[in-house]
Amino acid sequence: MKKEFVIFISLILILNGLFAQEGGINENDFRQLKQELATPNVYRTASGAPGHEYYQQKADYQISVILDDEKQTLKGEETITYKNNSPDVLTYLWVQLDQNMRAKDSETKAIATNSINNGRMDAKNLKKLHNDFDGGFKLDYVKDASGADLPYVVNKTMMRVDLPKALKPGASYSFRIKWWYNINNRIKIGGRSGFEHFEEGDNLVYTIAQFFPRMAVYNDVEGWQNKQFLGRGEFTLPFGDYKVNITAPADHIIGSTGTLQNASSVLTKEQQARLKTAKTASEPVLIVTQEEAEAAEKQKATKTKTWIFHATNVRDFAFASSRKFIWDAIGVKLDDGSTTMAMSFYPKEGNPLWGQYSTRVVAHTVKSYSKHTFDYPYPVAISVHSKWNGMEYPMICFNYGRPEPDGTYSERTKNGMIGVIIHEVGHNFFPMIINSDERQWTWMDEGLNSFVQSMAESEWDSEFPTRRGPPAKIVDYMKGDKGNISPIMTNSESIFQFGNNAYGKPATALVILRETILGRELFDYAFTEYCNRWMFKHPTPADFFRTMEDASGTDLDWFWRGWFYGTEHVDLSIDNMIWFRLDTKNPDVEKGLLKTEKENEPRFIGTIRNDTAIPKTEVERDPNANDFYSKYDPFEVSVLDIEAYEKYLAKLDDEEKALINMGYNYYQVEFSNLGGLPMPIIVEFTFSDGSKEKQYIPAEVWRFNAESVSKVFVFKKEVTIVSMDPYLETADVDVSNNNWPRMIQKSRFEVYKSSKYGRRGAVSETENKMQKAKRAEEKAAE
Amino acid sequence: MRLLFGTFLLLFGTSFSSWSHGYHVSITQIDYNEKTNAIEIAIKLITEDVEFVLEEQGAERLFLGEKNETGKADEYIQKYLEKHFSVVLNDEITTQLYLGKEVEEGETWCYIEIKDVADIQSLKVKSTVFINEYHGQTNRVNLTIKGVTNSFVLSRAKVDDKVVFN
Repeated sequence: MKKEFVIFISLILILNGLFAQEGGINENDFRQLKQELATPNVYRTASGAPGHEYYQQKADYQISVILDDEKQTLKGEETITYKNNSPDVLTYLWVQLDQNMRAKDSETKAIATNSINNGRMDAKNLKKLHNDFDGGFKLDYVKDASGADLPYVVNKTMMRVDLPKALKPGASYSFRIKWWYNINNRIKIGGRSGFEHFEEGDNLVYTIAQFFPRMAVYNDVEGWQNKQFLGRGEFTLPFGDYKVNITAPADHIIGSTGTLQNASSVLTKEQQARLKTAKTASEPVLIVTQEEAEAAEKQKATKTKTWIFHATNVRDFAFASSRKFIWDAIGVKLDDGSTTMAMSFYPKEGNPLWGQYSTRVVAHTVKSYSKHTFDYPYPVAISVHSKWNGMEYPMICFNYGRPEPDGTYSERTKNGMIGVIIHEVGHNFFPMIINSDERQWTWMDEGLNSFVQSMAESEWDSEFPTRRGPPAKIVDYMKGDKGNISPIMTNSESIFQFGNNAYGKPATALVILRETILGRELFDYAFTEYCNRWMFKHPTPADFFRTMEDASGTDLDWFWRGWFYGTEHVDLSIDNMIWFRLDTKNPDVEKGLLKTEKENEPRFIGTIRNDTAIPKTEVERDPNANDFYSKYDPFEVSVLDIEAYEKYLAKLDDEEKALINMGYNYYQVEFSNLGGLPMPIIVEFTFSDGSKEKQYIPAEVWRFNAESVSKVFVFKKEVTIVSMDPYLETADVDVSNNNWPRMIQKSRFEVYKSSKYGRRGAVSETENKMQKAKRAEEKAAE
Repeated sequence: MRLLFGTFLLLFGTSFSSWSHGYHVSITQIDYNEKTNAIEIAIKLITEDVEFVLEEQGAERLFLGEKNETGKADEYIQKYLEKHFSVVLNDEITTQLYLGKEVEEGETWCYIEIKDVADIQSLKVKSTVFINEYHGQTNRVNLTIKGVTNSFVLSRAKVDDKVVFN
């Protein structure tokens, strides 16, 4: 009894302490980010660069896998050599077993919240319900280099390997793992990798990734990054060198991370010659033609071939294999003098779209990203056609975009395909080379990549319908209920509205930083600096924020706080505008002005009616009813007025005199911040002669008062309209309050209805233009 | 137990790919136009989702917004929305007039009008749009009525919400 009392008392004291502090907390939007960012240290500097004792671990792999086309299994053996570059002694290693996410006891299934709606379920879902795919890695062994078994513990998608002897700083350790797994049907049960089955010819296209046990990252910020793979937060992987042998049916063509080492034993002489031609060609060259691929499809080899690939300084490895593959390539020459091979692998179902565009888009992406970051350092960049998905790995990615069976395709399919190839090839830069922690921060690779993607898309086609980047595109997301929006700085697995949060909003924020806050020159230098500092290293969000500030010479803490740590939206409003003119004190000018003002004053209706109703007033009729005041003109300039003015002038210097006589107009404009997110005020003034002038007021204008500010603007001309954000650069969610005087903004619904159902007119034709042209051609040939 | 397992698998099929929009969300804007006494509704859906869901349910290929869009596209969308989106006004079921749709850069805007609305005491919105197909589907509704903005988020866990005006 007594004890409880004591606890109660101390609780009150603690609470009092907390309350007392509240008033003293700095909640200014412009306070520094010191509390949010990690303290700089020897590993990561305050300028955002790697510190003088920065380290990263290295994991080298020797892998041999056998792809069994009949059973759709993959069997593998690997030797991992792990180099401990950290100053720490390690007693265990963590290895990632990503395929276990698809195992029967997967946590991904356990933590998914769900319900059966109204007890109803359609046939397709019912089928999925009875799917009992046996996924996950089946481990045969984990041994040390001498062949002795190593103790290990599998914790779902992570495996701890206990070292017999602690691994000292600077030391290396080699161990071996043997495993196999059932490859999933990507179309039926989904997945980043797997196979697609084609009815015609009963053939498969394999896109294989996360296929081997991979080392987890150990570093100065997370220790071991061994957060479970739940399906969304992607991968965190150390760099290393790979030597991989892939054994597949002899008639398969394989596209892979790395450089092919044994072309002479897996490719025909002709294919080797074509590959050589492609290196310096001006158009993509077919290494395997459609005819050759169609011939290969018709029979199935019983023998196997082993393809050998080596890759240096990569964080992962993936490949694609099929007898259906058409293969084309072109050499891309980069500024540093190196040549990268842009290549594509696709089944005939991808044509004609893939043959025309894939490799060209890969080449464009490599060139465009190299310009914005650093020269692409890998020997190949590959795009593989894989229905329904877009997924990235070092040097290789799997992309959607399939034409109709009749060979025509919609514009959306075409743009979707080009967009996804730019995006996934772009991932080579983020996170394959600028190797951020995807498990922790999706935005660091998706957001930065979507941003550079938007630039690469504009360079591909100025009319390209870029979805992520233009500020106006993010408005619908940002203005929504804040209970359903997470800050960008949220762990990958806990994000609401993933696409907008981790792709769209950060990409938009960077576009705004580049176009509006810093300008292209300062931004581009800082962004390129970040990319080069962290090329082949592991950056954190703080390293990005700090580099952008350090290299541009701009305090952007308020911007990161608002856009990355908060969920508020942008809604600035012009509340009022008051027009002032300077009092010249010149009686000739001022009295004249007062007179005009008086004459222009609105008159009461009764007075106006009296003008005609009363032909003559008594005072007008009878001169004897007049006195001094009847005739006194308050606007008349007297000698005394002039004398006073001359005295006033005598006190002014020439500069002051000139200023007064210029006749400037002064406008006091009152702004308020309704959204909460501070942004620069960008105003455009339209003058009575129709000319315009844009003014830019930095966001710091809000530093003393976050809710409302007023600002005086000086012009020679008279202002008729003020508009805020005229070039849609701030993601302002409500533009109806962006003008003075207010302008009526029609809602989407109203615009739709007033344009008689559809702003683009009737769209429904029964066939697309390609189909129509084809029909015309056929008719002409008859 | 087995039933539950099935819905987990459902998640795998739909929310996986890294880029091809692994998120599913719709946004609905509802305004009351006092001049015309009508409730004006604009629903923004992701075009890929509309096509996937309607085609799964037996519609022919839609090609939304393309030159070869099927002539029955509006009919399919109208039927789907009649079943999955409803507004209850002053505790009475309303007649929703489907006006049409617009397809723009991967998004499909659907327009619905409710006529002859003299007064609004309460308004309930129910949306089960795509929640059977996408585990993480969220349907956000923004209402602006008599100058007041309300916003709610509907999902599988909560399919309807109501605002009462005093």
